[in-house]
Amino acid sequence: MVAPALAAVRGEGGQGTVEVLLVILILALLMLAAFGLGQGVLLKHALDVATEKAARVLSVNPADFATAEAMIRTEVDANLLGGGYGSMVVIRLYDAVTLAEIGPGDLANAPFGYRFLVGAELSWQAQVPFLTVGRRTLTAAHHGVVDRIWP
Amino acid sequence: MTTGERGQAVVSGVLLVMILTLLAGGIVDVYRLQEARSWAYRAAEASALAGVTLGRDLSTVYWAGRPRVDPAVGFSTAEDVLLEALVRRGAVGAAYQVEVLEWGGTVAGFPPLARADLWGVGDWTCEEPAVGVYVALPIETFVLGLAIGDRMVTVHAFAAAAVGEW
Repeated sequence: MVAPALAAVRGEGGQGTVEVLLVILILALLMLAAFGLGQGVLLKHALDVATEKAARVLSVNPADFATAEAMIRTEVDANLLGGGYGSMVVIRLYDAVTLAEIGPGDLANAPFGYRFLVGAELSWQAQVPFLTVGRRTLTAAHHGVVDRIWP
Repeated sequence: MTTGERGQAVVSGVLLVMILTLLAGGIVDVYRLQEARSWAYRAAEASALAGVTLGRDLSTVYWAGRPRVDPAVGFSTAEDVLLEALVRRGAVGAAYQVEVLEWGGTVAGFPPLARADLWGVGDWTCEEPAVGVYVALPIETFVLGLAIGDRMVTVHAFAAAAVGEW
């Protein structure tokens, strides 16, 4: 009977509650950080899948860059956590051998067997409360071969 | 007794945070492995597709009644594309194997690890001329490495592309 009374006098009665609240606060921060980083994982996956699809479209019809571009933006927009990142994706085409950047027009006139890369970049910053996380560039690239006989 | 329980929540909280940190590390490892395997599949697929596209030989349709894949061109193209992809990724210690079925057929024991194939089939069979690519990519892990005793975990992927006949 004496010890609890002393504890009350010392003001330790709610200490456990405060400690639990602190732990819950830390856990909540961890959860929110995981959620924020999870978005990055989903966006990277979307970029990977999108560039693969775009490379296939451009292999069959190298002149149809508009469809490939729309496909990439739609795929990124459709990621599970949303965020409207599709319009922010920078899409580039490269010569697969020299890695020199080429334009949609170059690819449109490329002969059968021309090897190219579809690259996509997205500048992204994880939203973690009370923490400033540096901006990162998510990248993806996929290889394609022009599989069209003409021109 | 009462004073002995001070800080109990902090201790359990610290333990919980440690467990969660280990769990988070494990999840990161799993993600890294999953991402690497997914990348390896895409690289193998792109290589096989390039090999079969550039190695496709339709001239045989006139005398053999069906197309084939030129084994030399199919092999070298698939290998080139795969090696370029590995260099771009900065992958170290990767192993690979490329096989060409000139007229179709079976390659026994390919891919070397059955689970590299999405369907887990050990002997690669294709009725059409095709190119198959197998990749083994070692990935460094952190928490998983502590659990299994080896920080390097190898992911295996296999993909094939064939000349469609119609």
